[in-house]
Amino acid sequence: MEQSFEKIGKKMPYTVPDGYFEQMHERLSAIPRRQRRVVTLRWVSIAAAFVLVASAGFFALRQKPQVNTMADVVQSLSDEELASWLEFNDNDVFLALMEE
Amino acid sequence: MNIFLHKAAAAISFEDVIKEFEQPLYWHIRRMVVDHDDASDVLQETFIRIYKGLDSLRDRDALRGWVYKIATNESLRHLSRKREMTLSEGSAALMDRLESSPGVDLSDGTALRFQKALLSLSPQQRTVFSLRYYDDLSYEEIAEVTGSTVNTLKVAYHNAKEKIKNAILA
Repeated sequence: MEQSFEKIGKKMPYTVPDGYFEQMHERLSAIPRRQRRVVTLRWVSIAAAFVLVASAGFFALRQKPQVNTMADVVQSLSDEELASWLEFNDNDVFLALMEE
Repeated sequence: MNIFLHKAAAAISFEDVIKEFEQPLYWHIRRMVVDHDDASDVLQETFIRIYKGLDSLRDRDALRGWVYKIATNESLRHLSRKREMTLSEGSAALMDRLESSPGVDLSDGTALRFQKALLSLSPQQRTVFSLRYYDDLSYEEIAEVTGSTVNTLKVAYHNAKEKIKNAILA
């Protein structure tokens, strides 16, 4: 029984292309360089995302809410609207009471 | 002073690991996944993991068991991803591949039958047999790889050997 193992030994039917192990050695030796690049790119991505979010936040906070002044409102009204508005204010009971 | 000497002795460079293990690990992976291209991919993935974990490896004596453990896990992960193996039995798909893969010498009938018999084993038996028979790992080192006890491994190796013998003689 042991004879069959001894006869075969560690022989395998597998083959590899010519020069495969030399090429593989080069590729494996490049892993540290590639991994450093991956780590660097990851940090650059994180930094870029942070800058983007911070900028968006900064501009959002800087933007003041638009408040219309009375002059803007008056300017946007047509002559008829202005006349009826003035008339309404003249007839305002509370204003009249306040004037008294 | 002794601590520094010990640390220096224990330190091992990634390049040294490549030199020592690239070929043994390739063949170990090749016996697990059969196909040459798959074995190349798994080997690269294995060395990326070795590179990432090498600094945390404290015990230089555990290096061999540790790198084989990574290679074995990566091989099994690859096979389960490709759904080419169940956890309880050998893979018919791998045996078929053995005969159809371009990187297999079909002229050596005995070696071919031997590998077929190996592929008919369960993944655990195959791992134990391969590490012991081809890579000469001690049972203690194989225990580190598989997480099994030494006695369980001895039984698994004996059973695997019997199955292979029977398959060759059949």
